[in-house]
Amino acid sequence: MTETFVSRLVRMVVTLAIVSVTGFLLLHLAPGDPLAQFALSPGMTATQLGVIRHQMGLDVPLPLQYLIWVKGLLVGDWGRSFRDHQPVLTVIFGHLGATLELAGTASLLATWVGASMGMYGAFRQGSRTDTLMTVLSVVLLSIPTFWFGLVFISLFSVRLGWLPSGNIHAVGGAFSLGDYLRHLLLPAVVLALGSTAIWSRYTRNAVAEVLGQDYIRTARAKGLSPRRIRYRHVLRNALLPMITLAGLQLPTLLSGALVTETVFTWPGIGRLFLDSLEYRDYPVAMGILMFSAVLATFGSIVTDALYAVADPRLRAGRQ
Amino acid sequence: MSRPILSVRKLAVTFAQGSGPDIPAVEGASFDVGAGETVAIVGESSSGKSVTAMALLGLLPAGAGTIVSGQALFRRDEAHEVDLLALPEREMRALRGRDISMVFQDPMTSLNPVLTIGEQIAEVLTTHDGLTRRQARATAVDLLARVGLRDPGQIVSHYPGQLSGGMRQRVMIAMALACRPRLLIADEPTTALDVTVQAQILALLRQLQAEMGMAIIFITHNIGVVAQISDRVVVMYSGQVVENAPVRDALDGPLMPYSSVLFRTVPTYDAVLARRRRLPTIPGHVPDPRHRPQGCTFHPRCAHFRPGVCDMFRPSLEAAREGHEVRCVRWQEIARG
Repeated sequence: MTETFVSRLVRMVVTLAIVSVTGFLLLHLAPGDPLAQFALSPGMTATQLGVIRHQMGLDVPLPLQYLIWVKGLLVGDWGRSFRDHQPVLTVIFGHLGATLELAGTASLLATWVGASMGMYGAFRQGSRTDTLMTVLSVVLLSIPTFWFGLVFISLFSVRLGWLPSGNIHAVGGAFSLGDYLRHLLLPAVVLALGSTAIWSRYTRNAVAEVLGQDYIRTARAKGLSPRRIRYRHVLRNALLPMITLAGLQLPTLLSGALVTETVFTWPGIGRLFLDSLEYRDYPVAMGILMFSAVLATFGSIVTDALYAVADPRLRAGRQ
Repeated sequence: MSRPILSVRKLAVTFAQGSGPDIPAVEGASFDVGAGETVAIVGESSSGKSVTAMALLGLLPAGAGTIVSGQALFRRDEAHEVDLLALPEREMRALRGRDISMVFQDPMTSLNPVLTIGEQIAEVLTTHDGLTRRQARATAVDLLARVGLRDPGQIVSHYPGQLSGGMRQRVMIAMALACRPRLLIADEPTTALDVTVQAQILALLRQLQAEMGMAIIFITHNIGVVAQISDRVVVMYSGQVVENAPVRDALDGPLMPYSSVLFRTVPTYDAVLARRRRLPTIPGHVPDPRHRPQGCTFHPRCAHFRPGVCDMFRPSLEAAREGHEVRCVRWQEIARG
């Protein structure tokens, strides 16, 4: 156990190192210059630009820039935003809440609806509803998130006028929960669509496989009620592959949030990332990249831990 | 024999497929099981023996494809008799695991891997006997002790993966007998186990039967086991009962050519040691249920086959003598030699 934990940790560090180098290179290789915004200011001289460049630490060779950044990262100094000079972590945490609210709602929605659909389909395999849900899932998976975002806005916001088309609350108004939820609904549903389809397919297969097992026949031979068989015998076993999916869905939701937040102008991490790319705000962009990478690797570790809790076979192996 | 507790009449099971011909898995099987009696159902794979068992408990896959007909009168108690094949699912469920229970072939896959042994036994008791969880757990410990498991107090909180195959089959038996059923259906309960463990499980079943008095339907393809455990043998071949006799009659003087050659395929110690005789094999295969031969379904493989007779007339099950039934047109000629 300790050995696997250590090797897991090592793998995590290697992963993060690769992500950081790749990200750093890509950012700096991309055309554009963080100083572009200053260069256009009237009366800006080359000497002044040089001073700013030095302050930003962009005047040293790239490998050195990377090492300085890594060193800062290790001691908890993630640098400062080029845009407003705020510490990167402060900027990230300022936007994190909105993303967590959006992604959290979407993931609850996707898990709940998708898993219910999957179970329904598995318990009634071959029925018309089952077939319909299969088709629906494939359709949902084939269409990109942004398309749904735009169609939903044009339908529910523009044509029907039921829901706001963007932002986290009405401009200028005081905060109210109802207003917030109205703003949350569209982006959360759009973000959840793809995940729902995946959850539905995955749950259906997991449950269908468990239903064919010998121990389900045993449970029926014991005279247990269908309800007890479903919840106690089927779902307890189908839960195991579903935990894996939950871990895999975490980074997917974050990347989905990138698109959704942009479409719905949701002030979260996803939009912050796009903005920071546009402004060539390297420290913030790198910060978000690393933050997501840590979250994703962490997700897989949590998944494994949950797996051990849910599956006595793994626990037994460790005793 | 007193009034049987189970009386199966003309049980037929057909699996209809959307495309292709129907599969008649069981055709008109009839047999009785007396109280406290052990009836062995023997036959090769796809002879219909497991399907018969599943049909009795209503465990065949539901749906339009499965057609079950016939009658299976089961005596729940002295006053009540029910037809297992006509019982509504709700009442059938109340009966399963309480009046009739079942032990399956593979104990490795027949227990739920994520529930403890205790939970799996206790849920039978809470479902049927209305015990509280605490009482059920205590009873589960007693039951585990009863099926010969050491440290039952420990084993209740174990998961199936922590037990050996033989231990798991003991757990399955404890689970099946939790509510003291009148009838236990054991579908090849020893097939997946080591030979020494097989003998232990058989001994355990016999001991528990002596203590609790339940009847057993023992499904097996192992003729050696039949002699050890059963009072009566029902031989099945391609979906039909071909012989039904007390175990001694059946093993000493089988009347149906299939039974006699089936019983001779068992190696005996002397014969193997002396290498005097090669084990007989039955030529050919069990016919595909979709294309069973005309006449007697065994005739293409039968040493006593007579053209114009065996391939023309489908024999019916007739009483050769009291308690001994045989399905063969020529049994009298064959018996005379």
